[in-house]
Amino acid sequence: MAKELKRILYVDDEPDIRSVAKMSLEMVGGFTVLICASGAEALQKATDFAPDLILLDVMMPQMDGPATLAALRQLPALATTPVLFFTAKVQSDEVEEFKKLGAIDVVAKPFKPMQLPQTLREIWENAIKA
Amino acid sequence: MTPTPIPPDDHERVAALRRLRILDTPPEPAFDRITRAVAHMLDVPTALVTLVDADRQWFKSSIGFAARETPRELSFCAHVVARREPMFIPDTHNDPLFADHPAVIADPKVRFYAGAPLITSDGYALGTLCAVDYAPRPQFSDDDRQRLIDLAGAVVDAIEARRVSNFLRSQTELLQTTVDAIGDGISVFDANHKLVAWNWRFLTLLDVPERFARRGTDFAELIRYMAERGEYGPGDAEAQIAERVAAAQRWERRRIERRRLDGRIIQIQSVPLPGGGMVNTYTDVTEARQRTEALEQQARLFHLLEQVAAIANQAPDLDTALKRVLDEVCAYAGWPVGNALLRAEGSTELVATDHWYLADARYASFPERSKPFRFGMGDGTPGRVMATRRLEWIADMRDYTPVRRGKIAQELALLACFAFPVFARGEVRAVLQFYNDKVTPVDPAMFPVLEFATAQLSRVAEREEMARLKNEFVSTVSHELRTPLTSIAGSLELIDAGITGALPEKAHEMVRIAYQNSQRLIRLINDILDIEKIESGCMTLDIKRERLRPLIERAISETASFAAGFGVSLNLLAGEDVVAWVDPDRFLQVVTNLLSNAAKFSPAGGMVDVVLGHRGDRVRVSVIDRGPGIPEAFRDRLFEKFSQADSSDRRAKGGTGLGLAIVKGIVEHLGGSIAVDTAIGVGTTFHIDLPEGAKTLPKEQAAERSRVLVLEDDIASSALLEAICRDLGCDCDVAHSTVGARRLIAEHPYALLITDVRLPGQTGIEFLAELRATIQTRNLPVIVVSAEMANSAYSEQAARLGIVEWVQKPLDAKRLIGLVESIVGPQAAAAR
Repeated sequence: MAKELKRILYVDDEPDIRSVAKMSLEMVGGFTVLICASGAEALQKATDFAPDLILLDVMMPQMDGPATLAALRQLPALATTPVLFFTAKVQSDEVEEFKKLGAIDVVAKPFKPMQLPQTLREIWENAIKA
Repeated sequence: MTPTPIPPDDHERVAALRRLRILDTPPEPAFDRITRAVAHMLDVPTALVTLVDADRQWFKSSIGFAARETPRELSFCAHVVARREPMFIPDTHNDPLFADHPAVIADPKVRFYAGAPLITSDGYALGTLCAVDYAPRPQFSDDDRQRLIDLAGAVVDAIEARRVSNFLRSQTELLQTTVDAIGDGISVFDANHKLVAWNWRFLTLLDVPERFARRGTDFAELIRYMAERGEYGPGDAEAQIAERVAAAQRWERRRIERRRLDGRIIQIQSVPLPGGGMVNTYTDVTEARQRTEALEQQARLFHLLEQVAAIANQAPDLDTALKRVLDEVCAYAGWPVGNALLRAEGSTELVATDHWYLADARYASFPERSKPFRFGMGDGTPGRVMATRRLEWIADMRDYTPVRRGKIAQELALLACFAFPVFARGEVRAVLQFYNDKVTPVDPAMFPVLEFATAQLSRVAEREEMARLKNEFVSTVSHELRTPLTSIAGSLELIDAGITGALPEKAHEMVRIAYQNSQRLIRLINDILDIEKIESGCMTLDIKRERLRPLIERAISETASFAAGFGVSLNLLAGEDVVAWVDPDRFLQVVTNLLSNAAKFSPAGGMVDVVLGHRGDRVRVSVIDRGPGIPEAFRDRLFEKFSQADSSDRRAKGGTGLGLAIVKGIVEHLGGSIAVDTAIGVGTTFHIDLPEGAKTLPKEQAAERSRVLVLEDDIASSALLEAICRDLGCDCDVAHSTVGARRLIAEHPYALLITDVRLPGQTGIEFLAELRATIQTRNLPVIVVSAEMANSAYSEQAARLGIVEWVQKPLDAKRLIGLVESIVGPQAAAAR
């Protein structure tokens, strides 16, 4: 049976966006969601949570998205977990840069909460297939 | 006494006599021998060679007669001259003409006279050869007469010989005088390499000592003297002599230049003489050469300034500008090593970049060995430039204790250096440092050049800094705006969708308004960023050959729900599929934009059609609506920012007023064009024409990939040309200026050059002329892609320069592909 996207770890320093994202992912998408306010928090909780997908905001104080990604990759349980970046600065050439860092894709902010779960499912399934 | 007869031509005769320049000259053996023979053979006491002048007779030779001359009226010989025949008077006392002659009745009491005329080859009787006795000679025989006549002939011969020799001497003198008067030095060596002629200038130009100024001086002897004096520079004198003697023995026409010890430049031209020998001319070309050099210097200077300005105008970034200026300055100054050092943003130290100019392999280790050095304020020459903020020049680095790079430079035998700053926002941003392999005194002529380079490069640095700040600002603003908008729009969307529970109808309506406007604000921010990118030339395009039908289908599906909101349906009409050169994401953006525009302005229940086709050699995408049409007054401003036919539309239709400006910007960046057909009350059609791509997939790559150089200053055009070349399986380099192109050509062999003819700094035509004059690019195929008409003045020059083809802008991609394939494609490769 094909694996299904269920558990999502979302990391963002913006509390309001965290709230909107949480509502979108839980109530629209029906996912089990762990929300973290920083990369450090994500590192502490990620292994126990064992997400199917990790969403990282790019611009965060102290440890930004790419740094968080690099650190997460050091955790054996998360070495291959698909990672998506969320960014408000998306430009086509930057998408390639983020992919080089090991992300499966980039989602632009502002995102549409009603469509976000479906978008994530599609991206995730493509990544798993690949 | 009978008067002395005067011949009718006496005036000419006397003139002829005087021309001989024989009168009043010393005795000469040739004549004296004859008079002696006359006296002896005819047994007379007196024998004379007389020359009859206007009023005297003068004796060139005389035996037995003391006077040097006597008056003409007393002259017997004047009679002979007048008669032009011999005259014999055996006894003057019996001769009716001379019996009472003063020389007969008084001293010397002449009794016998025999005279034969001296008639020259030009027919003048100049005088006589005569025999005189003071006793009568009745027995003077016919034989004696004949002897006198014969000897008179010998006198004439002697006179003629004398005339020839005089002529030769005067000619020689004339020649020498002429030769001496010539400003050039002249020397003539005979077949045995002996000096036979020379002039004064030869001696002075080469400082040849007196002792060599003689006939017979040996060429090798002279050369030896010169070599030993050091005229031929350092080296083995014997070898120098041998080389020059061997060259002389080849008897070849040649022209050489020699810099003398005093710095003067002598041009020596040798021309072989028929039958051996050589004429050499020596010309002092110092002034001429100085003038030429000054002019060349000036031309090179102007070229440099022009290039530096062009680089500053076109360079996409400071890095590129530094590298190019580095090359130009080294080429101009002839210094073998140059390096650009850069101070990173936020750093206080200059660090060597990878941009080096290295004239030869001797310096190859310099870049690697420079890597560890960082130059803070005052450290080394770069640090000093940072401190003084001006050009630093060290004529001889050995005057300083070598530290840092100076040490390495000295190990590499580099002795002099200079460095100048590049400023950005008032601070030293970069330093260009150059090294020379000889001691080089400060050259004030270089200062204005380097100051110009500082100013121009600073302009680039400043521009880059401003662009960076602007990008940073735009990026920050967009982030800062989008972050709160994410929360606002996201919350509103969730509320509107009822995720947070049902809302009262009025509240729901208000939420919907807020939500729609938050979406509009997001679109506006995105559009502003797009416009900014288009206008600043920062839009990055990933141009590929794409089938357009699937892209348009996607655009329709993405816009369908938006259009449905206006009650409008979108259709892609049946027809051929076409392939074009586009960036798929940007093309999608263009079509989506046109579709939503068309939907907004269509009547409810209307239809928007998309048609794919061709127009000429280009692919055409047409978006057709049946809306109200565009008012005449507005058509000109259609593609301007924030321009809508009715400004109230903006709010009513939810547009940003930027859509068409963005569409036009993107289409043009793709190398295409946009046009509009509109009729009030009928509808509007937007046509997008794009470069067509071949339908077939790229051919199997040839084993050996061809390398193509694209020279085009317009970034968008060059991106398209590059994409086409790469798609055809070629390696492709892009240069935005002739400076860059020149460097790339020096580094790689190219199979083809695709160039514009209108380029900054130097025209493409000038550049092609330059290429054609260079051996390795003489036959390089060239395709010109230009907005210039193919029949303009350019194309005539182009034909002369062997341009393969002329492709008009806007680009006909299909034709260009055909041309490129014919030159570098597999068939062409096989033909090669």
